[in-house]
Amino acid sequence: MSREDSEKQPIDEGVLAQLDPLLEHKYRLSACVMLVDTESISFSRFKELFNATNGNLGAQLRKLEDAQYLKVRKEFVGRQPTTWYSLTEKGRNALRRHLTVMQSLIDTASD
Amino acid sequence: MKPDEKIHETLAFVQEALQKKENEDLRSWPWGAIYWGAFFLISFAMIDWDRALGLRVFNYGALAGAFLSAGLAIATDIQRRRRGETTPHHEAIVGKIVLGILASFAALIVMGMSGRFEFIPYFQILMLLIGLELYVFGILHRFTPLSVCGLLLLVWAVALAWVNAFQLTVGGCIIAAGMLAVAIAHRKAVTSSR
Repeated sequence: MSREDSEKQPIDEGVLAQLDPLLEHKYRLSACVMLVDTESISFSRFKELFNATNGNLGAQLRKLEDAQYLKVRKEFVGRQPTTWYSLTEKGRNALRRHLTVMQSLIDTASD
Repeated sequence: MKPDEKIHETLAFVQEALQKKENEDLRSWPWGAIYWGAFFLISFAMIDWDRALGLRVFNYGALAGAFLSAGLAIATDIQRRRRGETTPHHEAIVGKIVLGILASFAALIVMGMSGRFEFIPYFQILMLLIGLELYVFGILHRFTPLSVCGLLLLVWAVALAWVNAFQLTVGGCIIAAGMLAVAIAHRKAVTSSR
């Protein structure tokens, strides 16, 4: 082990436990972050931005929907059904808390 | 994978996705800057050359810019919607209306400086502009109170025309009617596509 490695602060398990498990996945975190300054984003737009498959993305977004972090609205554009996602107040608060914990972890790691 | 490595990977993914989204947003920004840059350059050059004509170009240019910025905002909004994103009400509406009002007040100040200050007709045109913007954004965002506010403003501004400066507001009313027709056609297209 190099000297630099040995000087790094160990990550506090207590702080890690404060992370929201629902926002640990990259698709779920990205979806919430993007919805902070955008009123709503469609499923196909998320798919394009994340380069994800229908099944995986659908399952990840469903978890956020079940936890009421995301609100879902369905409409038809032409004959195509479109699903729109927007961030709820609960989701916004959870994201804020999660990012605060992440920031403290990053600060600890860079000390 | 260690927790810090996982966090790092997640953050890198978020950053990449955000970058991709922002890059597409940036594509439409230069048009407004180009218009306002050209507007100031041309009108100031004309004021220097022929003061009366230059001031007129400045006044009408500012008004046209306010309408164009609203049009550009609506076009951007439609483009984003097609892409699968919608803008928050406050950002789209407040931003563009503030820009429109600022442009209109700049023109008002120049009118005052030129000694051709006619407040009432200009105020009516300003109200027509704000009414239209509120109405169109209300329809685009399916936010009925905003559309109603816009319509009320439009009716009020048009009603004022019967009392004061009829001819000057006729032009504004024709533009208003045109934009209303576009807005209604858009509304019908949206409704029928559902």
